[in-house]
Amino acid sequence: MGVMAGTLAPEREVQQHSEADTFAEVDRPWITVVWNDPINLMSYVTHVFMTVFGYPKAKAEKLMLDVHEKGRAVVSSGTRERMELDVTTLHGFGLWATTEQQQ
Amino acid sequence: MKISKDAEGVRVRMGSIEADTLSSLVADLANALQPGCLDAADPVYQRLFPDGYRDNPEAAAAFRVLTEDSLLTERRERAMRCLAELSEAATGAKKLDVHLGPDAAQRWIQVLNDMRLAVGTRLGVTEDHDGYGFDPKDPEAMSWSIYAYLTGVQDSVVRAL
Repeated sequence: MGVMAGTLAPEREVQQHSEADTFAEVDRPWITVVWNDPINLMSYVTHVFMTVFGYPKAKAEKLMLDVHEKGRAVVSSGTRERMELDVTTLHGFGLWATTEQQQ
Repeated sequence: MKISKDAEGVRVRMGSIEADTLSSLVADLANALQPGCLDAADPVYQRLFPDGYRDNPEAAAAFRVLTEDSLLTERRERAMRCLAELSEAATGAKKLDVHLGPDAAQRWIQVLNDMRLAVGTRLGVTEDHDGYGFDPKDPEAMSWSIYAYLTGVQDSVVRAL
């Protein structure tokens, strides 16, 4: 998945790493994580995943159950900017979402 | 309240007393969403406007600067629109119908969710104590019943979509 170096860290910092480190840093995509909370309804969370990401119902339900049972689920991945947009949208729907770089 | 599918989307039929009660709840939310009304340290505020980064306070603060004001405005404006729709549907008759197209129904479930997040956070809802079968002697029994009511309405509208 393509990730622009400039979106991840100041260029100066990246240059201090070895080439291998730099590639590892750049190649890891960003992810949007939704965390479990006791208020959002299962039906609503499924609906949000279908509406925001256009996921089919089966995939949206699977992600919702992961959130509910495992405490979190990765719902999208891509550039940092794209993930910040997804997090903003999910906050608008009242979901507890954060972004991080994939480990 | 009766929620059903219709040709345009969703029809919500309710009595005038119920409509008044729902309107006052939506108005409470809209008031709470006036700039500066909720303290940033208030758990309700933190639940409605959570951090965008979990373990990176600097990035979380930068994200907040970019998104917080517009999200507050978006939430307040959609509550005001629902309030206006309830007011337009009120004709003085004992029952009133609110017809919601797909976009309006979407907005309604978001406003219902904002109300549930606010009331539920205030009450301290947990997985094990989610308001079903609340104790009528509980000093917060009325708020628990409001929470359960909002839950039922939201779930019904989501299922009707």
